[in-house]
Amino acid sequence: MTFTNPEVDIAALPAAESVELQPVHRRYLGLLRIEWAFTALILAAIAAALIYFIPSLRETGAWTLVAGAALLLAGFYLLMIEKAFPNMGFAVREHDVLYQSGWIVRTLRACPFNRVQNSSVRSGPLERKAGLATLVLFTAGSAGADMQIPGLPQEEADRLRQFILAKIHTGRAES
Amino acid sequence: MQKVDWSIPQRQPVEGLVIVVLKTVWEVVKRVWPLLLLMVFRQQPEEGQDRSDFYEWLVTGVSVLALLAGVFRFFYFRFYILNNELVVKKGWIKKETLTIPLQKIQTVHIEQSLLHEVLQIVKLSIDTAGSTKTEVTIDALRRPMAEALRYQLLEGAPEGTEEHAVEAPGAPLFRLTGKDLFRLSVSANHLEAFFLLLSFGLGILENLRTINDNAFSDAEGIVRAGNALLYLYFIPVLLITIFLISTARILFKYYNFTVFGSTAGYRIKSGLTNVKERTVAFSKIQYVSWKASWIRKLMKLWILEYHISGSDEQKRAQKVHVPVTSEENVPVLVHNYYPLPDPAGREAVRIHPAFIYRRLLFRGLFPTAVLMGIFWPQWGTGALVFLGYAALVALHTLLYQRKFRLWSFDEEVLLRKGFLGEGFVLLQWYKVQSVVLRQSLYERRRGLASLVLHTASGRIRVPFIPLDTAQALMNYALYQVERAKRAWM
Repeated sequence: MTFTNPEVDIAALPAAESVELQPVHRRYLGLLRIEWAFTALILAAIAAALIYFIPSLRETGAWTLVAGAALLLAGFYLLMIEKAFPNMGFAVREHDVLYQSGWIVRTLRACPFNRVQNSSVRSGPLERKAGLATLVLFTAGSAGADMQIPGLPQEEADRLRQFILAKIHTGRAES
Repeated sequence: MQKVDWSIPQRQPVEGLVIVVLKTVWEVVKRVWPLLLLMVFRQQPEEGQDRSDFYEWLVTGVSVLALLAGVFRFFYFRFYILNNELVVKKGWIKKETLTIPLQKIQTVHIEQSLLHEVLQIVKLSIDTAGSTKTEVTIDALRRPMAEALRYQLLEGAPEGTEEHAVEAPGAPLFRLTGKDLFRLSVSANHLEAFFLLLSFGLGILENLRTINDNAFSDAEGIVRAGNALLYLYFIPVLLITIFLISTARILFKYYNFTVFGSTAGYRIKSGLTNVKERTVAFSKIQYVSWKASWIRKLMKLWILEYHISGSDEQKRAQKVHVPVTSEENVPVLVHNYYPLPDPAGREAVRIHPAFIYRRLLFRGLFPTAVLMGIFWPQWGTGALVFLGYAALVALHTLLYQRKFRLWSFDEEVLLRKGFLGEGFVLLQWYKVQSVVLRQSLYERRRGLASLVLHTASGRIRVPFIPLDTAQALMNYALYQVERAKRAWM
């Protein structure tokens, strides 16, 4: 067998950043808004309890600060959801999966198939109601190395999982 | 040459019973020491009364039961290798079968305490990738058997009825001399020794008083009087004690420290009373790092670490450290992982200066402002002391940014980082598990990005580098991982 060692053209390598990402399902935004509503309710309850049980807050007018802080937090969380959602997207390439998320800190994760140890599809009660699921890819990497792609229609998540499992098995058979 | 058929269940040698008995006694003492104290200090019974009492019977009963359980555990302990899996069977009443695939085994340690040495046996323990603690311990094995088992576990040679020879001993790659041990003692982390001393506190002082009664009784007098002589007398004694503790710790840990390069991996042997032997298979090493604090850098002393899969922060026990007494030894000790590249003349990736301002703002100025705001009403201008913290953060960040370098090579990446000291990381691209490219709003505005390379032994962060460089590094890492046919572990 002839050994070859051609030079690698770095500029010609497939660019992860220029891949067109497939957005997660629109229903997922609705789910995030419901989660926000629950969080906002809890925040409001905490603020109300503080104002009710600490009389000095009412007497000094400091209750406006507590209420304002709760409002600000809830508002900021909603802004984060609305701004981050358009950035969420994934792409399945021949050798890896890409997933982008975040607004203040935007992250692009890449997980090669030949490093995936296991994968799972999970869905909470709200996700099930909306017909959505989260695909999780586990690697042997340290904390934060695993990839979670939320907001996938249940069938698509299952199909993707099967596809990735097949890729893992093909990879193992080749190596 | 020892030959063992590993498919037949093996037992521990009978000498191991001594270990079992002593281990059980120790466990019993640990659990019933309050009762023992009660027995020792109880009031003496009056003449004619029965001397035996409830506590004595209880302690004797518990001891006998524990001893019997230990002996049964010993006789019911079996281990063998079948279908590339180590099978350990233990227990009498509660039976347990542990199966570990050989490929999951990360390191194998062989230890020999003084007692083991007297009995001519060793202890063997196994760490795996999926557990935060040592998974299997075989308390007693004869050395040739232990070495044969270690070879079998790490080499993963096909087992069965065929018999296998013991591992061929490798050549020593590196050895610490007496002078090296002294240098290590001088540059040791004396703060650790100080806190150790503090934790024993009065107990140690009491012991020292028996050695040098006059010295410490005088010292106590001086402390009480608040005399300036304290600094001339007590402090040097304290410093010498701390140094001696550090020296003793280094001596016990690193005595006769030798690294062998065997066919299975690096074999590291050290210890004065408790001789430990660890073997790290080359394939299990995810990356190698070596670092020196400023004082150790002055003395040309480095601590090299083999990062094996699974040995993140939660698995400190699995970390494999090698003190290196000369920079020339580093290439020898990393060679089997990957030959050390020469970065001279190669363009390096550096952290953007914006990193300094950003980190100073978030880690220095914001916390300082909060702390000053809290303490200003009580301390007044005294709260300005927190500005010192901000200054420290500024200095740390500035030096970190200046020192940081990343050199990308065809097969590997070399990083230099540090603050007052210096550290290097050597990573083969194909050992990467996943890649993350992060961009904060601020980084996006400045055309910068941070890269995180996740490995099976922790992550490597490259903050605030030009976006196009981060993207090129990410794409290259993915290319190298995805084309790799070699197993990463």
